[in-house]
Amino acid sequence: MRLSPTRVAVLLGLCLAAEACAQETNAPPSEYQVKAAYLLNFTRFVAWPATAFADPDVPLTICILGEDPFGATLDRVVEGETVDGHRLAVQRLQRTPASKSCHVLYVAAGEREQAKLLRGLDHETLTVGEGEGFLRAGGVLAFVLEDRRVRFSINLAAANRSDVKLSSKLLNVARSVLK
Amino acid sequence: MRTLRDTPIRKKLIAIVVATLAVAILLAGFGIMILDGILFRTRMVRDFSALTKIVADLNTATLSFDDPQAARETLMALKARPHVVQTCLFRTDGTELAQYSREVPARACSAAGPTEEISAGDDVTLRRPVMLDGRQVGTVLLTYDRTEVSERRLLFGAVVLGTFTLASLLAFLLTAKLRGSIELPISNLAHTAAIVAETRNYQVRAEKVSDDELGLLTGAFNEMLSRIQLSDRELRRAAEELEARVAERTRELETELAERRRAEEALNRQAAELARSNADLQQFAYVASHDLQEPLRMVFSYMNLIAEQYSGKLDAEADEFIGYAVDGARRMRQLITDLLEYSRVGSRDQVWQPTHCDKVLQDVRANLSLTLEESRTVLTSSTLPVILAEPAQVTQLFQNLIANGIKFRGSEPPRIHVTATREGEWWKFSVADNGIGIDPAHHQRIFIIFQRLHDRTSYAGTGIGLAICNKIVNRLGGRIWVESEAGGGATFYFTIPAMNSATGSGPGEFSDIYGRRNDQETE
Repeated sequence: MRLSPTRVAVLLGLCLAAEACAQETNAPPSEYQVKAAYLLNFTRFVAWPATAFADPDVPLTICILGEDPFGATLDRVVEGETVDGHRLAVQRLQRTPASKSCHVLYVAAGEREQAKLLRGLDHETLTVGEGEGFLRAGGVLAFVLEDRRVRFSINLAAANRSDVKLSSKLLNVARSVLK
Repeated sequence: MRTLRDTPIRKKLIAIVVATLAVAILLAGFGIMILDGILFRTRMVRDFSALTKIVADLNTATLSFDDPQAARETLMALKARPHVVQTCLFRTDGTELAQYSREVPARACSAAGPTEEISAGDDVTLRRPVMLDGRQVGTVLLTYDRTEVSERRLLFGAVVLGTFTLASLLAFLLTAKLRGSIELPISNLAHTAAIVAETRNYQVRAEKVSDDELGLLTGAFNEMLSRIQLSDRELRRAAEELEARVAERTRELETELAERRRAEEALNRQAAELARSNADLQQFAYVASHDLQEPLRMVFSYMNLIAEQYSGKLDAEADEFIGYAVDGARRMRQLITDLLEYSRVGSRDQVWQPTHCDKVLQDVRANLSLTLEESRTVLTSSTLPVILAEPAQVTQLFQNLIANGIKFRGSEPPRIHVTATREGEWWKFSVADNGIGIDPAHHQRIFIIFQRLHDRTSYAGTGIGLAICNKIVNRLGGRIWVESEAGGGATFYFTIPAMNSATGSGPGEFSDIYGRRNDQETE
């Protein structure tokens, strides 16, 4: 997949900010490099309820359910970053996570019975998936490709049901919003 | 051009009110304007800083998710702020994400630069980092113009001007009454003063309108007019009285003057007649005596010839008759000589000069030396003064008096003493002898010409000597008299005016004063 120069610049900026992708600055950023950066950015426009963190030292955990498309990229992106004073941690899962163990749950594209999976989750987890289908299944955020650019859409109803509050700024930037 | 000083008070008052208003309103207006300018600028900086911050804040997501479209939409909202010229959003690498510009074409904008700069056209450009969770996600640039400041200034100016105009109008209307209360009494006063100055009618009075200082002024002015009126009336009366008195006095003086002139004319006429008759008389005496001398000399000479050649040749009776004729002729010659001499006193312009009487007495002593010796006369004198006179006449005066004393001597040798004493303005001279004296009954007569007390056989003489003395003393301004008893000697006194200076003065000085010279002496 080809990325526009703008895309590269954004990644460059993100990489610089993260100080984690110095080696990759020369290569054009891949789709999942962008998505990894977006995953981190989502956490900045989202507010979790106070009950989501037992204490300030508890890290903000990004869980990847299913086959991990990011590889080491995500780890490098979140390394050293903090959100609201919380460190970031990445967990890779093969089955539905335990309650309150994940703050962000990325559901890989290959997972089946996504609707059932999502219904079983607690309300303090921000769910991110791939494609509009994920939203219809009850996910909150979904990456979509538009004009070869990575964008995202929001299921506002799902978001409202969840205890995780999305920033209006996020809504403003979203490609489409399901109500 | 008329200066403010010459304009009427009404206009001055208006000018004062308007000027005061103008100063107050303009000062206040401009003060507020300046203050507002400062405050407004501060507020504007704060406003736009805040706006920039809001724009930055609104665009954290658009920058984070690299969404130029959403960013542009956000920026388009700034259309509502007409003073925002341009806004640009930059990514962290300095590339532009989105831009809004009021103008077409848009200005170039760059992420690099100071946080605040003033560009051409008085625009201000602000640059702020866009921060998200302590990380910079981009840069926002906002340019705004400051035309609002000048717009506001213009508005303020208009308000100040409007306020001033309105205030002036109101003040003009409100002070109209007040102006009347000041202006009316003053113009009344001025009008009255003009009338008084023009007509000199002091009966006019200025109308008193109020009880303030102007009222006082009017009162004082009226009081002054009353006083002037009073003194004017008095002055007029005094002038009329004076005029009447002057007229009366003038009439009196004219009358007096006319009388005096008449008297003077009469006097002058008389004096002229007198002078003429006197001159005639003197001329007659002189001519008579002078012209008589020639035939008399003839008679005398031939009578002497007859007496010498026919003596003893005729009979005795003829000799006796011839003797009488010769004697008569001789006496006649003496008479004529004396008369000539008398008429000469005062007949010419004689020159008066300081005359030393001591010197005169010496001359007299020399002239009479033979007589003095023969009669064994003792002539003494005290110190005599210097007088202003004609020396020859003074000599004659002394000589006549001394000769008189010798002539009328008694049985003893004559002693004659001459003195002079100062009596006020006069010198009083005396010539005293021890002769036969004069009966007081004759004391006046002796000074009249040709008056003799004795027959010519006892004492020779023509009776003219004392008359000459009298004439000389009179001419010098003095008088002459005698004090004597028959057989007790006689003392002749005469007075001569003293010179102003003391007796010690020399003759030279006086010749200078009177402009006369010693060598102009006559005979």
